[in-house]
Amino acid sequence: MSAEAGRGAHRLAARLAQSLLTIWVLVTLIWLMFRLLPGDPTTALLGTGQLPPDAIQRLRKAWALDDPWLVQYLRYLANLVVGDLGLSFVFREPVMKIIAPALVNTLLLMVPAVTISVMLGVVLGARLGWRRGALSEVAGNIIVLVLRSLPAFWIGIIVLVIFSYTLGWFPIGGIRTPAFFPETWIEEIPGYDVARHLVLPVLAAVLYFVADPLMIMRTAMLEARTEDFVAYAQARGLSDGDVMRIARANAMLPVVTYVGIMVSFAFGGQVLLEVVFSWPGMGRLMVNSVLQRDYPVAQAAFLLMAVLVVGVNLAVDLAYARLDPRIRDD
Amino acid sequence: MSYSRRSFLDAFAAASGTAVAVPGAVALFDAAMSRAIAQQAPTGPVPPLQFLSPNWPDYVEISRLLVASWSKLGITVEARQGTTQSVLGEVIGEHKMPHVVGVSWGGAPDRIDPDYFLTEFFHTRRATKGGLNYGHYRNAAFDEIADAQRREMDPEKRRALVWKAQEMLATDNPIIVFTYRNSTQAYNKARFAGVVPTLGSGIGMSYIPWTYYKMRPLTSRRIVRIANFTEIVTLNPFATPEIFNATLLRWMYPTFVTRGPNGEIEPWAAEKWNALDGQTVDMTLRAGMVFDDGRPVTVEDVKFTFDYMLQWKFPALARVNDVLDSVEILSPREVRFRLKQPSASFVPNVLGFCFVAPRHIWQNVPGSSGVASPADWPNENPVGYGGFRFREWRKGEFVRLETNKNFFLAPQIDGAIWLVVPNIENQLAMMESGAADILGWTIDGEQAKRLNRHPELEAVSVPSHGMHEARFNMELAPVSDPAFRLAIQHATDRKEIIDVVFSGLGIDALNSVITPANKFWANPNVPNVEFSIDKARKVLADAGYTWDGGGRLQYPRR
Amino acid sequence: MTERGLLRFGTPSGRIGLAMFAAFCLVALAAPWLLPYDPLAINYVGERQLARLRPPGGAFLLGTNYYGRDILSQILIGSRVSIGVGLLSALIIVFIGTNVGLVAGYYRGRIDALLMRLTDIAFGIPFFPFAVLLVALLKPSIWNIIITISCLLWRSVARVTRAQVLSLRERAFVRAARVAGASDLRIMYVHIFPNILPMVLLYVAIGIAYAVLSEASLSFLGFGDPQVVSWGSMLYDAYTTGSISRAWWWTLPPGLCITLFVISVFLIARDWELIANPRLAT
Repeated sequence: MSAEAGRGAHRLAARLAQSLLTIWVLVTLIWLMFRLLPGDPTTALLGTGQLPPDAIQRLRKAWALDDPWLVQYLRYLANLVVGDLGLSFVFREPVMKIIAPALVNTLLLMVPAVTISVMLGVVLGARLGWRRGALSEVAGNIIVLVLRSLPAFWIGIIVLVIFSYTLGWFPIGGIRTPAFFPETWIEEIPGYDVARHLVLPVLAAVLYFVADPLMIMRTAMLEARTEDFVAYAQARGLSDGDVMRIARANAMLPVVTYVGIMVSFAFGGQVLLEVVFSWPGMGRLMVNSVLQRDYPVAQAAFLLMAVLVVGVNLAVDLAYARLDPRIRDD
Repeated sequence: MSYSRRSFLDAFAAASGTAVAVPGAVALFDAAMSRAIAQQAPTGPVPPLQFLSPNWPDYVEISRLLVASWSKLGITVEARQGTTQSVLGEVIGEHKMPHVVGVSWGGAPDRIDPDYFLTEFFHTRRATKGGLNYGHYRNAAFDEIADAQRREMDPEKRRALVWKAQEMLATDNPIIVFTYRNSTQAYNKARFAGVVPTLGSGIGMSYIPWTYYKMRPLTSRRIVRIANFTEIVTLNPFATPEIFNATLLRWMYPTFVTRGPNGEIEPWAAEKWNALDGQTVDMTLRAGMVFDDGRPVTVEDVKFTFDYMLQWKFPALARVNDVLDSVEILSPREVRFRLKQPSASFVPNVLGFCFVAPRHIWQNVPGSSGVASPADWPNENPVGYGGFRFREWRKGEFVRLETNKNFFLAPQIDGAIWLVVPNIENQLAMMESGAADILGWTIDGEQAKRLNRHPELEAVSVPSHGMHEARFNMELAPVSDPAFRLAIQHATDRKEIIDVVFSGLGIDALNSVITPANKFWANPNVPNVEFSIDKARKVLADAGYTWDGGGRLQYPRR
Repeated sequence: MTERGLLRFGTPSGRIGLAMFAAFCLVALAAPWLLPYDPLAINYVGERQLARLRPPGGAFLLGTNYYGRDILSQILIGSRVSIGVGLLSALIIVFIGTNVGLVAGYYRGRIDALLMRLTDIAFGIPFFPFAVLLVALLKPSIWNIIITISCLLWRSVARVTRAQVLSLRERAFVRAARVAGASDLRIMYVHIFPNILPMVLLYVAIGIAYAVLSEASLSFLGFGDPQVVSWGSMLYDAYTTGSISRAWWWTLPPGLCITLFVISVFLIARDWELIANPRLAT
């Protein structure tokens, strides 16, 4: 193994260790915050008045809520290392069984949304940053400006009101039609029902997400235009479109970095879209589990988010170091 | 504890960014000051009145109205909202109360029997942490009557006791009931007919589902789609979920008795029953009921279920352990319940809550499945015997049930799907677009009006026994003073609350915890408290309160 | 220091943005004197008829909401909360983020690693679920909303500031200052900071935008301060009473105000971006 590769491996190991540390701190922080919250999983049951007071005590004991914090924490960590996420207090089922479908639903929405908005952002942003002074630039800038300034839920509501309430082209929220019986050949295509339900939330999500990568791309293009290699390509007589594509390839780096931030952003902001579209995803699950003090589910959900975000950021950092040799990761 | 001081300290701590670190110190400091102050009888100006409620939109509005009208007595009223969790935890869990706490109670089936509101809310026994008597109303005479009505098996005599109890509460004013809010839902009348307005459940809620048993499809759409806010969390009837979940499971596991549309007790899975004396109740199981897997429902299953509950002591079914001593089989269709003490509410609240679990399935639980208690067993394919059978559950999305045409009251529809739609905007749009046929939760007046404008929809509003109320802290001045409480009663404009907050869809409470719609038990003679600021001030003046130059209320001079 | 003045806006759009921003702030300041009605007062028409969900016109210029409250008054008084929360949160975000970035980028080594791990942690926490957690912990109030928004959103500022400081610290004038014996603090705040000021101000503007949007979103989810009227809480009221798609006079004004205010901030930000990065103007 060459010295260079050795250093690279060492660096990777260091970054991995740092990422693990980050995740551990996050996990501990969330765990602590939950213990500080007023109320606990039994609190919601108080309101029904159906439980006699000693039943609450018995439940607390059964769920080990009265053990000293250190004991609970160590038990939690030990279980985590083994991969045991515990039982949900609310559902009384293994946490993974609760989270897995919600995660799938969220990814179903987020992956297309992020992919499409990054692609659109790169293409449109490049265009916007290349041709100065044209009417399309002004119009484009205005549209992007407005999109950046609309709250996510607002976009969702407008999309829903126009395409669902008024035009009736798409269902009013949800992820599927219960007891769906396909009637026409189109409906027989597997996934048709979910796809139909997916259109509006993805549209809203793309409208919400596209503004930032677009602006970053535009800024990067504006800067790239002043670079030497652009002048050189133009001097060589390449067509404007080709020069733009070269500039675009170089300007993409900041967008790549941004994807890391965007993932964190995306998983954080999806709650609003899930509420508006009644989408049964991670956002709603996290909010509900916090409100119901379902510690195992909430902790696991936050952990999952943290792993995803830290993982994506790590991948982005490594890719960035590969892509741009000028950057030294010291 | 002085909440004004506490809330000031909390606010200061929060504003200086030390909220998380400081609560312990705040509590210590506050406790020390409380002890110092509590020694003296109150004199001087009446402190600001603290009104706490959960941040539910209707209570935010109610508190604003109360602030406006109660201030006219010369006091400052501070309305504070907490999250549902924090209010439940603090008030019910810890019994930490400011002067007044406002909450609302839904029209669940076991609240029709007067025992619930009388005993749970006002008996001294329930004035402990976790109990619902968080105002700490302690009245030995009331306790006697409450206990007596529990044991009195003769309905007429019991009613007399219940009326007396209501009179005592009306005199002592530990509670102020604003209204019994109606249960209002809308349905698609072009697709389904035959909805049954039911006390507390309206036409659409899961609590007492007469509508779903009796509704007829008018078109080819024979499966009814119900839009609701909440989702279920378990299919296990022994587990401890909230009321919607619990009542929905009883569509699959019918109770022995149920409530009719007007609240009267009706046979359901039981054919008849006979209370021999207060402590012995014989029950005859309905013939011909069959579990979903084909096996018959027998008295062995009934005995097994109750023994199971006695053995495992499920928290959700604690009422069984409280009152039941043993069950014995008398004949192929009869069982005998022996109670620990006479209980007038055994039939409505125990037989009206319990069900039959198939022995051939549950005797193997927990067995080797690894769960600590049967209440934790997933019960993924519930085998029930009701008019509705389980088909599919997608968490957070819907529960799909199909009807059992062999049930003794076979539903005419082919199935029911409970959709989870967490926001009202989508629910209303789904009704208007036809994606949903009926609503499963209460809507209010304006929403009902909007849906009524649609030619296919109709909103129906039904009286309910659930109530919006506020409880007084009987141990904290000035609300510990009966005269002050009476003045507050006079200073509350219930009509305005009903009109503004509920668009008129509620019954003006007669200062009783039992709604007039609950015809048998409600005491029509309970003295109502008229809304009059003048009368309120007169009550205060008669008790020795005065007002200073600035109009601020002052404690009576001692 | 920069060649162009910070307040001389080169583009018409920037000037429009500044004008809009100033107008909003003026209205927010003057709001208590402009109110036609008490924003929380329930209004009646005639005898005891609640003025519920009235379209604009007559006594109520923008109409009334579900409880008979005047919408124009709510918009006016709500501007104070929405704008105030936005400005205050942005200042805190930038304060924390800039300092973290400065210290991390300047000292490098272990301090940098520690602070960047802290930033990574902030990035690893999804905003809304964490906000819900924090509000549940601290109870819903306007101060807690500010704390919630500030305690996560400083992360981007920190990263970007650090990147800039990393390159600036190698520049000649910094080396000269060190040779001359200036203390670390002096170098950071007197020499380096003024050079990152344009970018800091850019992030103040962006911070205001995100803070306003976050407050609106939190209030929309129902985690706002129930005692306080803000543009976001108006939308929450409209949503939870099922009036969003019907009462356009109730839902458009707050949505429009949020959007226009944020647009004005972004327009200003664009001009400051040009100052921070002159290459964008070619």
